[in-house]
Amino acid sequence: MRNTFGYVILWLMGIPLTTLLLIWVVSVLVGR
Amino acid sequence: MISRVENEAFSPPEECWRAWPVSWSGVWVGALTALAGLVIVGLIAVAVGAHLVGPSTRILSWSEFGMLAVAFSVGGAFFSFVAAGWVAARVAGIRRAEPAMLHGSIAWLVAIPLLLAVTALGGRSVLGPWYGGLAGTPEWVKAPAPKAAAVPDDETAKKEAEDAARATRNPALGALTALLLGLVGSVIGGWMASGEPMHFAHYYARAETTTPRSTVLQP
Repeated sequence: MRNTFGYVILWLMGIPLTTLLLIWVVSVLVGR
Repeated sequence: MISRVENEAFSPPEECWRAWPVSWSGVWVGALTALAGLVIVGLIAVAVGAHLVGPSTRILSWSEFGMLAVAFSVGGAFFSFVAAGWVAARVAGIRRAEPAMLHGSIAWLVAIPLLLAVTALGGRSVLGPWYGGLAGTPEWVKAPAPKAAAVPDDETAKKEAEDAARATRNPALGALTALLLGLVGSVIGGWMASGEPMHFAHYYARAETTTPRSTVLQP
């Protein structure tokens, strides 16, 4: 069973974008 | 014909060790790939002006650290180690997800002391300010400690002490984030290189089709 391209993109884009979102949310909450 | 049911009650204790082989060639090439990726992304970030370079690259306040710099730091830390994990598992030739992920994470383990050495030798200006938290001062260039500790007696000295505390804490947070992102990336890279589907349903299905622990042996 071969790997599917969609899941690869999902993992590769999801983790950094989620991290950036978390950092942004924390920076807004902390306020600096 | 003798048939024997081997289950938990009858299986002998594991006297022999079952080693998990490690391909050190793949691991080393993967670790070097991570370093090369970090240097390339770091240099691009400096070239486009995302990272500040100069005599003082300390992160005193996160408000000075723009979102572009954060994006480069996160992307560089993650994708460099994705490449590392991918290369490690591909060079090792692993076609199963678990040992491939293990090799990715071992490449990350090998890259950490390399990163410590590189940042101690001044690699922070190339790798980016997040990795500045890994930079210690080499023993051979340390100044001797003063006999009496300086007491912050005025406002300037107090502000200097607060700046020093922030300049220690903020890069440590950045380096921690970068290293953990690298670990996630190396595992994802190894998983990707194994060629097995990257969704969990596949592994539940695989566990059902592979031989269960309780099997009937027919010699």
